[in-house]
Amino acid sequence: MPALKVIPLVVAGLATLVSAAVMAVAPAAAQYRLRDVVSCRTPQGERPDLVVTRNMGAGARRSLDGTRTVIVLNPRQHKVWAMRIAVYFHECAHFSQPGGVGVKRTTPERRRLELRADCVGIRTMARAGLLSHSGWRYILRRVYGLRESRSRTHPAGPVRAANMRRCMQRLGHLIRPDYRTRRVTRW
Amino acid sequence: MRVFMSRARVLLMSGLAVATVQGVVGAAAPDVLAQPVKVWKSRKIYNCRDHTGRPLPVYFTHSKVRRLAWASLSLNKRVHLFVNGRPKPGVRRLGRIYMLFSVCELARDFLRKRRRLTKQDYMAADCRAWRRMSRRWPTTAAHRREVVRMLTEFGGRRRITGYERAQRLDQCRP
Repeated sequence: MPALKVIPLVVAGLATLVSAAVMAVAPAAAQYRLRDVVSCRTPQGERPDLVVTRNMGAGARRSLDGTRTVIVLNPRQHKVWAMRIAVYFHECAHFSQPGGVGVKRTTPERRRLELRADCVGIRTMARAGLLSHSGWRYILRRVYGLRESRSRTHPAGPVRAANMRRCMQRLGHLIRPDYRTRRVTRW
Repeated sequence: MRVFMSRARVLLMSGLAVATVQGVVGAAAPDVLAQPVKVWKSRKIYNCRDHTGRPLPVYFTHSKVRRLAWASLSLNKRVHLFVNGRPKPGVRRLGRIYMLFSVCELARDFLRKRRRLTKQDYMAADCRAWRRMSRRWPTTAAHRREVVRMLTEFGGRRRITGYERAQRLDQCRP
């Protein structure tokens, strides 16, 4: 049964997620509780379930009867935690879009919503104190290299990276400097 | 007598006409299970409940993976069912519905027994899924053959192979 195969992965993923989140959140602990920072809420206030897989793409989904929401994550796709957390917040941002998830849309509309989710996701991550300078550079680099999806619903990497950079233009002060290098973000 | 004969003729003709209309309509009505993939999203068909009667959420995906339907456990220990809507050669609505029914029965089994599922569990779930499908729609031998072909191709490789599941399906009681 596929569910049984996933159990060890789920336990390992949970442990790693919590430990990484604790380390990353330490400076912001005074402002945010851990639960508020690493959890996602839909506008209706419900918390989507988290499904960790290893052979599917990441995605935000709503069940066919509309009662449950889920975020699917695949840690195999990205080795760096900054990118994994960015993917999580990107999927979370889809739930706050007009109409939400699970609505039939045209391709241009989906492209626009993907860019919007990129923007909202990276901003949320930065406001939560989870975006470091090196993480931000890495995310930009990885996103820049993405190709346009075959269904044309996801724009090409350069478009998305430029969009994210534009979103964070005035929020550079939220990007934490790295401990070792003490560099600051320059535009 | 003449009146009687004419009325009988009218009755006979009207009966024939009704039968003809029914035949034409019956022939024109599409086979529910053979419809293309596009019209397959329906919450009435793809519902699944656990052993206590609580609905299990079913998600639509469009994934590159080989499997057509599977169950997954979330971090808060909820079981989610996924149906893969990505078009595959030779796979029609019937196959997807059957695979979801089968996974649904497996998930129910898992939630009830709380243990690792065995080959026998898989085979029993397949039989239950086929019976559920036969109750819901008038299935034919052609449908059965299609399910057997689907199982052989997409029915798994590790715990139990699709070939074994297809072989066992022939021995299910109706």
